[in-house]
Amino acid sequence: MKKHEIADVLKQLDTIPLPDKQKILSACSQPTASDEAVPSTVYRRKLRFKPLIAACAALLLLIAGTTYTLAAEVKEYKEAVIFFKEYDFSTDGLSRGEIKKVYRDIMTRSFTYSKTAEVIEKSISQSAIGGYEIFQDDPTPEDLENLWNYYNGRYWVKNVIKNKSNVSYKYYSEETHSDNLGFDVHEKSIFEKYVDNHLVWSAEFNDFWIQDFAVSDGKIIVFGKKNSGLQHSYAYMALIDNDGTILWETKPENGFENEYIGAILPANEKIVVFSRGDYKYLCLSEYDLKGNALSFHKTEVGNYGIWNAAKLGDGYIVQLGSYINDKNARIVKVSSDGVIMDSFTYDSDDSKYYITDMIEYNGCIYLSAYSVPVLENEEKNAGSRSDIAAVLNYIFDNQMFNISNEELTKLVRDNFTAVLLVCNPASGIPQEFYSVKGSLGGKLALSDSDKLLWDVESITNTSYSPATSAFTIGGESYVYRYTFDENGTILSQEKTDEIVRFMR
Amino acid sequence: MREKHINLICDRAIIEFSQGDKDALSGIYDCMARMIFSVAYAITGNYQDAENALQDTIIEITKYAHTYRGGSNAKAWILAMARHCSIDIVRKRKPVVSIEDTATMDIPEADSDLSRLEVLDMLSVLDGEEKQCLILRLYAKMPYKEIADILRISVASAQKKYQRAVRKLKDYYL
Repeated sequence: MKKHEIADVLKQLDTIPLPDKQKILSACSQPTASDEAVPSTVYRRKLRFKPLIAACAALLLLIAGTTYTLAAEVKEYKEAVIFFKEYDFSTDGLSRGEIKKVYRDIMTRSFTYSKTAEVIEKSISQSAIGGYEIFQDDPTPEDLENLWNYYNGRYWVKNVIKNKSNVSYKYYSEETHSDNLGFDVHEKSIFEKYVDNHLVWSAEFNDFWIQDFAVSDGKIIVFGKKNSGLQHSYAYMALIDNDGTILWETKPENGFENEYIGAILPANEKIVVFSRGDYKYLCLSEYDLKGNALSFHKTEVGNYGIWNAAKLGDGYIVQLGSYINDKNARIVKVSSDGVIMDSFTYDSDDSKYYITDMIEYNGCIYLSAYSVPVLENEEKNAGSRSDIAAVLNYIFDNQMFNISNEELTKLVRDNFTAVLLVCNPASGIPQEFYSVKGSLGGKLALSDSDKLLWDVESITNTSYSPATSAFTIGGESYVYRYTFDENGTILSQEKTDEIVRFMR
Repeated sequence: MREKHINLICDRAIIEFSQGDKDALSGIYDCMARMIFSVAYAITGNYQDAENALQDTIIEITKYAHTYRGGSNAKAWILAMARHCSIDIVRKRKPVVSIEDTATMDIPEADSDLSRLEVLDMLSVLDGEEKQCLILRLYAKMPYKEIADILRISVASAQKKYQRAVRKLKDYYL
């Protein structure tokens, strides 16, 4: 029996006749009949109508009836307008009669009037921008400035979760046009430290693109890569002192023609580096704080990227991923000397998970992720872009190539759910999670007061580009921050002033 | 009716009721009676008890409407009450029957026509929480987070119980 067949059988529940409504409601605190009805003991004078009096009475009744009808119409219209205001329904383009009809249609739960759907859809498209049970404000001028920077020559601009001291870091790279090559090339990568949004120091690197960084005792370990003219690429890393001085910069010499660093974990007086060599090796290297290599171990894992790593007991948890194989939540347990001990994935019947960050907190590994529905037809995976395949399929199946940003944003938000997974400390197997609809799981970090901070990127606005060969969907997401205590209980949630790019 | 609309209407109706508009209860009934009754029927296993659970749920709504936080998930709030009322009814049965056993109880004569429904056979394969997860997920179309809130279990447990229920039915109907 398949899932849809089970659902079909469950629909038989709808055939069971419901109990009588009045019987059910009569047991509840309804207005009593005596509130409204005329008491039966009221004395009524018996009238003897003569024809003239009867005609006058009929006229009076007609006038009263008309007046009553008019008054009722005005009253209903007023109620309808209040109702529209209360639910932010737009009255644009609707006549007085249509407003009343929509109001009546909703209040009677008929939903048969054609304009009702239009009004509600419009309202939902507007309100759907909000995160799960979180009200979102319009973008601030600072948000727009941030966006402006994205669109004006700064690449890989990345804000990092601020801690309680309001310390934050930002890095970006700038390109310059090469007349010899005829295209833009990397000029420099800049790393900046901010306190209370004021720049404290910045460090520049000309040799490599900064791809990510880790913080250890106020010192920053940045890492990235450099592409050579021979189509080789080399990993780089550097240590920046807490005053912005670059203490050292090094290129790991592990004998690969192509190597990149996936994650760095600061440990006791050493730096643990997870890198991938020649598209098939998972490497674990250790360095001292002067940049000297202490140990190196490689394991052939196939064509998997190293997407995240975190400490787990004496060893580590590493997330391997492959866009080619559409593997996004493969996790391996690695011993302290780099040997793979175990491997597992996180998936369910009807959701597919994409892990975006991981962190160790209070002896547990927390995984930030997002989930999308499993495709009914795996063949329609939109060219291995499974996370938006459902959206693209919907657009293609319905020939909606002129879809509005509003409609698209609603579709995209329906597709994504941010998820926080908590791994078992011993086995590493994810156990439970929190979820936020319409969002992607973002960065994880610890606050100054040792609380867990989880960034959730609430998809705010998207646009669709059928002009690009890949039918790109791009947009922006507001960042919401959730704080958890040691037991995983939510302490607070806040909308930050940060906006991140959404691009698929 | 779309979920968002149900939530919108129930949210407004609960608030209106708590502010003294007794007619708002009728709106809640129109939107939710079918779902409450079905969930109750799945839990209690017979018509009479499901009817009582529906009535109890409506009474609970009237009692606790003032505690409802506007803008939250009205449907989940109501279904959580429906579940509690249904379980209460099962617990109060004489002689006492465990919730897990309700699916195998004899259906009263009055329900004889209903007993032919395949859905009851199907649900009888599952234990209490599996049944509830399945109903809430596939019938009430609720996300795991809300199911977890209603059943007061972790989201992962809700997911596992649902998956176990589906697997059980797949195996049973092989």
